[in-house]
Amino acid sequence: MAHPFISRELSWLEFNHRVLEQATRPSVPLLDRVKFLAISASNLDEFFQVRVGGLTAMRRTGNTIRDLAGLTPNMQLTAIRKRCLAMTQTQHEIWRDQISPALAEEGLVHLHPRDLNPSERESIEEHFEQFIFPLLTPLALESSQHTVTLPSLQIVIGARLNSGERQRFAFIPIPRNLPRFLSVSRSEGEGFLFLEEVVAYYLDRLFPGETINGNAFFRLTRNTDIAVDEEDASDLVDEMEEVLTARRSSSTVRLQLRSGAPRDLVQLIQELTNTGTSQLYRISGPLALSDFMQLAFRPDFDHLREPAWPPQQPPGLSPQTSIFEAIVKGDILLNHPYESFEPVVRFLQEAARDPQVLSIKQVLYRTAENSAIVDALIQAAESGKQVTVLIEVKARFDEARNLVRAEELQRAGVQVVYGVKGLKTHAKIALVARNEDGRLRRYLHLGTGNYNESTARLYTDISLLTCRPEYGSDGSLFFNAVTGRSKLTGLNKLVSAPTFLKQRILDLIEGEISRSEQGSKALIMAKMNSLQHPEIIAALYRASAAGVEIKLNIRGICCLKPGSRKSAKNITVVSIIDRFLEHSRLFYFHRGGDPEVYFSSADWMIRNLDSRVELMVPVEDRIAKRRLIRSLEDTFKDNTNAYLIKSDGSGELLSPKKGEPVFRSQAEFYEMATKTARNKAREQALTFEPHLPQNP
Amino acid sequence: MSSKAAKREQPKTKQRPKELDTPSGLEASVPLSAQASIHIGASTLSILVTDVSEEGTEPLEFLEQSLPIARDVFSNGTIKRETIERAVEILLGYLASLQEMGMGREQITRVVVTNILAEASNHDVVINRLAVATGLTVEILDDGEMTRLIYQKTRRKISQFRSLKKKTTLVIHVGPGNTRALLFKEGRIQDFESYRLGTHRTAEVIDDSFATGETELRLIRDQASSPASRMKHDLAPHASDPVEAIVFIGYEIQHVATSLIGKNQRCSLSALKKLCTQISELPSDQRAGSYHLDHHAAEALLPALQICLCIADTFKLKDFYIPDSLYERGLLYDLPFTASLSEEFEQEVIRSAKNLAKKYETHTRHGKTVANLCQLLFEATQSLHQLDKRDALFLQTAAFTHECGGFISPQMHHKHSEYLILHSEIFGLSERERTIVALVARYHRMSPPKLTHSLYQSLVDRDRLRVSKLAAILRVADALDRTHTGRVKSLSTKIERDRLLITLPQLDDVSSERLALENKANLFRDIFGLEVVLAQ
Repeated sequence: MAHPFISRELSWLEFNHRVLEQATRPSVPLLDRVKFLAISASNLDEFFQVRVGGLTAMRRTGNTIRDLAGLTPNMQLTAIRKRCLAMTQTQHEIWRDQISPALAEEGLVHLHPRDLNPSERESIEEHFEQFIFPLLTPLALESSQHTVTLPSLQIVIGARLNSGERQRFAFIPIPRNLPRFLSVSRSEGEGFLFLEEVVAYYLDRLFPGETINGNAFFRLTRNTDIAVDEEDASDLVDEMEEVLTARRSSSTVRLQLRSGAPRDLVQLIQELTNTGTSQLYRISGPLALSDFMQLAFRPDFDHLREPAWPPQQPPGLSPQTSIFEAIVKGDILLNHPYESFEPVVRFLQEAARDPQVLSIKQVLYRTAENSAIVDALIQAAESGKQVTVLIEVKARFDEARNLVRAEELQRAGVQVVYGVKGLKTHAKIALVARNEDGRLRRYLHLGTGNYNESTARLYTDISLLTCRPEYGSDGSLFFNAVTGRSKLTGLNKLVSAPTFLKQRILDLIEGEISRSEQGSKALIMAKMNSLQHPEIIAALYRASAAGVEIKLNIRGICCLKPGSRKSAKNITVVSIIDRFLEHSRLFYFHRGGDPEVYFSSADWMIRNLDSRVELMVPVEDRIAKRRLIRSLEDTFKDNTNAYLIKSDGSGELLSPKKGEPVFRSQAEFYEMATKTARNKAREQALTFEPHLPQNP
Repeated sequence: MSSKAAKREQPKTKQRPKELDTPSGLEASVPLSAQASIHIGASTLSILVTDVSEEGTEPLEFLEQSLPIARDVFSNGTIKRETIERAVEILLGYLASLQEMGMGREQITRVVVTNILAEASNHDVVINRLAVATGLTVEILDDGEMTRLIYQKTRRKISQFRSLKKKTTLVIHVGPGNTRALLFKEGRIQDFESYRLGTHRTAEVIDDSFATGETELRLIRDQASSPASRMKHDLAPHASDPVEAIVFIGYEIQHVATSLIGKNQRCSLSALKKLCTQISELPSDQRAGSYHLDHHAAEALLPALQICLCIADTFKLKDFYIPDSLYERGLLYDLPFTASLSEEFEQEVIRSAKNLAKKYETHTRHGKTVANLCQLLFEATQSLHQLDKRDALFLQTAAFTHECGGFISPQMHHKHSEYLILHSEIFGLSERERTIVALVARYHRMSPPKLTHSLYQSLVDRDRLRVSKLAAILRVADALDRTHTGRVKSLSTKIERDRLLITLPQLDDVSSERLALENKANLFRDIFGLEVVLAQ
């Protein structure tokens, strides 16, 4: 029998391929195609840092544990390399053969410094001298014994230098705090140069008296899969800082080398970075395509982008209304980014100012650069409120930022907790306790996305604002548990991982199985980023075999293998790749026509269900529940940006069948949000609210 | 320490929360109408915060932490220092939580600790340390109050299930050190007993055997079978009057209730048996994870269930009831209310006292008359004694039982009464309360209370005064029924300067009562400074 699971890594690579495919779609505006190209590259960078990093370390230690699909680390690495070589080549072909020429046609031309006319060159030279040269720090290799530590994910120019008979090598990292693209205005359109090509062009300025007789552009990716040993960590912050330092010099898992480099220089770079051929990726084009996001978001050229979809103000939440009063009237469900994240920020800002508020508690996993939410928490603490923040310092790639945040918050008097030992706290929850005329009322924000105002404009997520007492009591117990004040005993409504969440999902699936076996209609709809937990997948197979209809919308990794066999014939898996990153996790269980709908911070993955602190939230408000069911159903109607996942893990882009209307789910959600906001505005325009005297 | 580390150093958790008495550090608004109670149990320390309003009491917050009290008591006979400090740490965390809710220490109604703590040689050290570190006064939850709590819980449960109301129902609480059994008939308490058989006590006994599976089950059964047989003998000795239903209460059995009970909160004997076998087959370290318990509580899981099984088997019942609520929550919910007596509860205590009096063949009519007169005098002299409803209950209990010592010998029968009351169970009374009742009964005649009397001396000042006041009233009431005919049925009183004037309506000749009073009113005069005079 064929293996019933798809390899996690290969499934992820298929997802990235779907992202890359957007860069080839003529229906996608040109600069948005650049954006997808950059995203696919940035995704790959992270994949190499973490997943390839981890697998390489496993292979080095002789680990032969097989993954769900039965592959050893070595087999996975071989398969990954094969897929990545092809994907890298595709990326550069798309840039070179499709996007770059198309941009040139639109007047946005890639130029090399040697292509510039004298006046253009003069201006670039001046720019180099003033802004670039002072930031360049060459690392010289003095002897064969000498070594240099080269930075990760940064373009480096390696140069062979000669002065008389003496030969030496130098490495010039291209500063990441400078724009990657330099603009040159032309009478028709605009030209742009790559920063590294400008540096290479003027490289001799760095080494007066020496001749440069060969150079190489390369970029390293180091393993970042180094975690804190929490059992031995007496001070988590110190340990975390050590890990961050260690990552700067950890082993190289990928060496990207721009083709055309001299052989001896390549050999030297490989020696210095201790990389073999299996880690070497020769690139026939620009390195660091992830930087192309700067090009995609460059000012002007708006006609080359899809029109903006500004977030809509949710009805009933005008800036004049107190957010607390609005929540008391009923649960508020927000569908981001179609609906604005501003009410969530306002929830915390109002709480910070409100004299009735006693305490604010929040989990922060990833925050925005200049976070208004963090500012509100600081303001609340400074005004004497009890503020507790669990800031997850183990949040990958945000460790350093979170450490700084934690210090800021502590200085303001916030009680800071650096996460839970042995687990990452990934739940999205904020709790505000108010004394309302001697009665305690607790307000909760629960969500699927991070408290990050920037990503909240780009990721699809769900927010629920509620003051239901059982939810408040659960939220309070949750915080008491993660701050070490209580065991996480039974919650009324919320379901938490790692203790109860997996079992609840399994029970819900089992419930559908038994209904189906009794001849009732049974249906599971679920939307998530990744599906990888073997127990859940096995339960879904059992459900399919029992006749339960299963509709899955999985953006990324899907280890469940769809197909026509009995255990999968009732399962449909689609994946949507569109302008917003699909990020919300929504689950629907039919339950004989009395459905239960949940949203969650957790994917159905081992890491989420077994080793993270997560929450799953039932939606009880009738209207909110109906909205979520409809939005889930709509994602399965998508026939423009949805891929049908096949048994080999690859995706087939769906298109409208004959006579079927075009349906793009993200456009539909935006349309719904704008229509609701417009109707509300119209209603307000027709309904006047007079200011009345206090004592008529 | 590096300067960086110093900068980051957080306040130590083990600090007494500041400003707890001025909630939240914010401008004072309307104080939160909430209260909290804390229970230090056999393996957990928990707090329940409730919202109190006209509509009732609603739970707001329940927090629970693991604390190995029972393990320390039964394995070392003393509470370890690390356990005491862990308790301090947990309590300070709870106080911080209250502070975050804008609540002050004064809103904590009770802090009680399981009575197995009394078996620890250093229990006073524990209570003192907790008081010093947290400012909280911790009381040991004694058997009497525990019984009261079970009674309260059971009354609710019985009113919930009509079928139970009609049946002879045995309510069994399998606690960490003792098992309590309350027998209800038609919804009213008939009898109750306590046995030295407990979940953690048993766990500790069998711990060294390292037995699992059938051997472990047998070892527990061996511990439980004798008390279970005794229970049957005590509470259902006649086959014609069998126990028709059993309700099991306890931390462990209620914890697994949802997996055991079907409709109507009933569990079959076979389901419990199956679960016991399943658990016995699990290695001990897996029991905690499998049943979402901490390790200390998990150690007592199998003993608890197997004890219940053994009892149900002994009474030959095929099924039984288990409340589907959490034990700790229920206990904390009821805790603030045990202080205030309900009418039904008072009646149950008096019924229990009457049963005791009957057992020792006292003169029923005399007891009833004295109790009635005590009640009338207690109410009439409220301004003098300023005692409360609970004290009135002690007086009633003493009135019914004051002569039970006569069963042993009429000579010095007041001292025999003291001994018998002290060593008998009176439903709903704690050991302290029973001591008060025993002393009041003792002082119904002969010597007034003296510090040379060791039992009297053992009381705190407040209780000594309480005993003296109640005994003074009891003596007057006893004198008024000197004839043991019950002829004094009512009275009226009047306080005139330095005397208490008692009028006995419908009685023409009060000479024998007056004579009796001459001997027995001295204590009243000494305590209240009033001469007791019978009006013509």
